[in-house]
Amino acid sequence: MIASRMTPKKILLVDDDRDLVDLWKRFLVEAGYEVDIAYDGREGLGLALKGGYALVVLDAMMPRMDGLGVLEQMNSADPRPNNGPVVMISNLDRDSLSAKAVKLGALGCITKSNTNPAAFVSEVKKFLTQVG
Amino acid sequence: MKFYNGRVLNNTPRSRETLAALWKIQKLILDTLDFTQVVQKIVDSIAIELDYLKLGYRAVVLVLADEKAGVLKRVSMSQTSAAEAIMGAGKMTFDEIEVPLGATENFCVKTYIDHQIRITRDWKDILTPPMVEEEARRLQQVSAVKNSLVYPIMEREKCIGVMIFSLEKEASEMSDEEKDLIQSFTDIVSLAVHDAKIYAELDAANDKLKELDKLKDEFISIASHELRAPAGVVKNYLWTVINGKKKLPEQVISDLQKAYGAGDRLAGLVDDLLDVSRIEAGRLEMHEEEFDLGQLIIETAEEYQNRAGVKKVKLDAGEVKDGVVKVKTDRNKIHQVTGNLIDNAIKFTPEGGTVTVKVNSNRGNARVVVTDTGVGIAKEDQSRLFTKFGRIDTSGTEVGRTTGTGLGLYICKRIVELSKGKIWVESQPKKGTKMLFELPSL
Repeated sequence: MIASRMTPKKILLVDDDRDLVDLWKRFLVEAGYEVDIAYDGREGLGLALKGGYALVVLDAMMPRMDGLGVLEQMNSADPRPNNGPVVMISNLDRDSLSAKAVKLGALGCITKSNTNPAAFVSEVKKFLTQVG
Repeated sequence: MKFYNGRVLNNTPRSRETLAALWKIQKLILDTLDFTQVVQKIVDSIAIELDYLKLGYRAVVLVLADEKAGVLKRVSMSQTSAAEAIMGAGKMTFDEIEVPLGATENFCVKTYIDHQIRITRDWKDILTPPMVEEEARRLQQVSAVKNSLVYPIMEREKCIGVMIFSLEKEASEMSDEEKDLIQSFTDIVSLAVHDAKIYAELDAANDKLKELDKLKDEFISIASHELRAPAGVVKNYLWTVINGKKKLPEQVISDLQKAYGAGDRLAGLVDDLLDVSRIEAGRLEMHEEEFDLGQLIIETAEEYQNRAGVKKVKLDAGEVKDGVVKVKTDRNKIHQVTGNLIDNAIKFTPEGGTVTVKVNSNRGNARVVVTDTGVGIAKEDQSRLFTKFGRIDTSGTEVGRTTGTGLGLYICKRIVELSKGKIWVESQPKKGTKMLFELPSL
């Protein structure tokens, strides 16, 4: 399952839940994506500001800077980094997160405890298809 | 004892002027409930009223007992020129004038104890302690007050403080009617202070409740986040092992699937508890949108095909067509309801059985029907189904080991009701169950 034979799409995963994010990276790489990981918000923001990601996946609750904080900073950066859409992931339930995140321009939310690696990969694919 | 405005007054106001003055003050005071404002308004209104009646009053002071601190505390003084002069000349701020309840020579304390009206020509009687005699008399000179009257403020049988009325005339010049008026003022003060105190207590209790409510919400939010995190890790790794490339013995896969199921239930339980806490607090938010109910049912049924397959139950949503029935409510929440109904149906249907999902239009309503060939539900159990923790006894059946919190259908009912719809059950033991819900269609 190769997403693109020419240039693999780059995905940025920002999440302090190392066990989970390492596992997801494994499956995304298997599915043909190039994946960068940051284990906290500030590190994630640093990578996101460099640009070049087809999708940025942000955890809501993280040390140093939470996901919404990273998203706000990405939005206000000048020049704006050249990234694809942002998707939030969280253990918080959708209700409390999605309205705020969507307001800030996030494409959607994934609830961590309701997913598995294959479902996560297919969610990522779905979000990438939405933006073409 | 007489009634005034429906409340008990200790004395009878006599003249029309007295009644009018009382009425004005009562009206002014009742406009406000904030304690600080009420006590200031009391003394100001009385001073204005007395001044209007040209009775020669220089200052009105309200003193309330603080039994905990063991003092009589000045809480407000009329904003009259005499009062301002006193405060300008004094060495103590108004708030600092606290008379210990043990200072039994002080007239305010005496009146507080024996409830007798007192009159003095010497301010040492009302200001010492905390002031020294010379200071008290110096202030009296500045204020040009000849006499001060100390009245008890009675709340039923209990004295709650005193009012000090300071006059620029002799006490002998006071008419009976004037004395009557002053007495009536103190009665109103007692009512107003009583109300304001209760309001302040209620306000404080309300603030405390709001704070507790906020803390509870934060706790639930953090607790649910922290409980979900490990459940997510456990589920994801178990899934990886179960679905790994390396073929595992069937027994191992079966064991791991049980562990996965437990992780799944844990995550679901946290979701349910969070939903219930929101429902109880009236804060379950509905994000309305127009959507195709048929399409939602098709999607949901697809999600549960795997679970039905594992259980060897046929899940059939073949008759559901998309693009036929549109509704307007919270799509995610209706997804939760349909998922819950299908999940329950699979759970309570033995191997080889069938779960059928249908959607149709029924007199302006979109109706979803989930039918199973499961164990069925006795009539007496049906009413408990949609109540909180309303689990029914399945111990005698082959699905008796089925677990659940008994919250799912309660949440479904609340969601359907918030969508202006209804949910119900039709069932007979051993003849399967029909779970139905209707939503207003567009």
